[in-house]
Amino acid sequence: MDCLSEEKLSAYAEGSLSSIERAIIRDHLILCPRCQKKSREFHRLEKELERPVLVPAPAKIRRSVMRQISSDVSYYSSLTALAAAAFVFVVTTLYLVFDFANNSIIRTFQKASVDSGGIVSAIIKAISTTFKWFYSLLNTANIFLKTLLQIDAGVELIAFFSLGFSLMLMFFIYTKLLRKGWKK
Amino acid sequence: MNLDEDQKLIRKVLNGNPQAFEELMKKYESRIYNYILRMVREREAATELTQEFFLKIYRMLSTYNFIYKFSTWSYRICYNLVIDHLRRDRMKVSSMENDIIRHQVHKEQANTPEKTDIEALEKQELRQLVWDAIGRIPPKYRELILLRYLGEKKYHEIAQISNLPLGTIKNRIFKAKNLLRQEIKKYGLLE
Repeated sequence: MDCLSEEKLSAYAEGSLSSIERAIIRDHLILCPRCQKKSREFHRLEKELERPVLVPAPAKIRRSVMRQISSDVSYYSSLTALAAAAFVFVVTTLYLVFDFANNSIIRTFQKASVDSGGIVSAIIKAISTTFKWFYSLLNTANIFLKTLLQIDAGVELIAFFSLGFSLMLMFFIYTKLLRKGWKK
Repeated sequence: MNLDEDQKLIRKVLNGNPQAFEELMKKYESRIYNYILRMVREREAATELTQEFFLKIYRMLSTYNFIYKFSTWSYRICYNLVIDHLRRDRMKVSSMENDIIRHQVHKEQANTPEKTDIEALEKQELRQLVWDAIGRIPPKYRELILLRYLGEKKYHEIAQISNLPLGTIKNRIFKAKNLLRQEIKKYGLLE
């Protein structure tokens, strides 16, 4: 009677054989002490492999990863805030330089968008909408101040305030990112 | 689509909750660290690689496809990370590191109450010997046996992780077990 291959005995210990193969091996093992011995060895080995010896992971791994993840988040938030502040700064500056009192910049853009066509028209329309939206925002702030705080600041003053605030914000975020060397 | 526990956590992370990632880390860090440690056999390198692995996972989460199991996807990244590291460093096999691993584990186990009868000690010793011996088998066998028993992966999952044919994987894991059996037999503890 030929002995079973070690590969078969290993697979038997692992439980990865079909029921027919298992039955054949069981029958053989009853009659073959040599294969019985090997089979026992594979079974014990299998049992020990299924219970890994684990070294505890150093606590600094999780601490360091979580710190870097929150730094990633604040890096992207800082970049977004910087872009937003720059946008507000540019729009406010253009508004104050070209249209101090009578919305002429909006009218100029609206006229230009009618005269030109295609992509240029779309871009001009977008710029015009931005300024309209910005003007409405300043007006709303003005109404809010008038109604709730009885302060008649005027749209221009609010625009100046917004300019100063966005400039300050840009400076603050820029220096923060500069200190970190623009790294995450 | 039914999401498992890991995938629900991933969804939370992707929705802007980085704290959910800590939960994922708690679940996987021990086995991942041990997989890496037993492959690179240097504690410092293992710690650094484990950190690198989790950061990589975090930054790649947006590319994760929910039709795959997270653990298989992440082990694939870990497997490649370790291979790259080993290629870069052409790691030297150091038995000293194995002693360090053994020493650390013994230190941990000394704090936990254990049956003190001879049989329990023998069992403990055998388990320790088996896992020490894994560190001495060639890396091409070691990586697969670790994925199978430390990563608790099935053969077809190991094939997805390692990109090796199923037959090669079965054959290498068998060879690894045979090497371990021969090694342990020297101590007379497998009888």
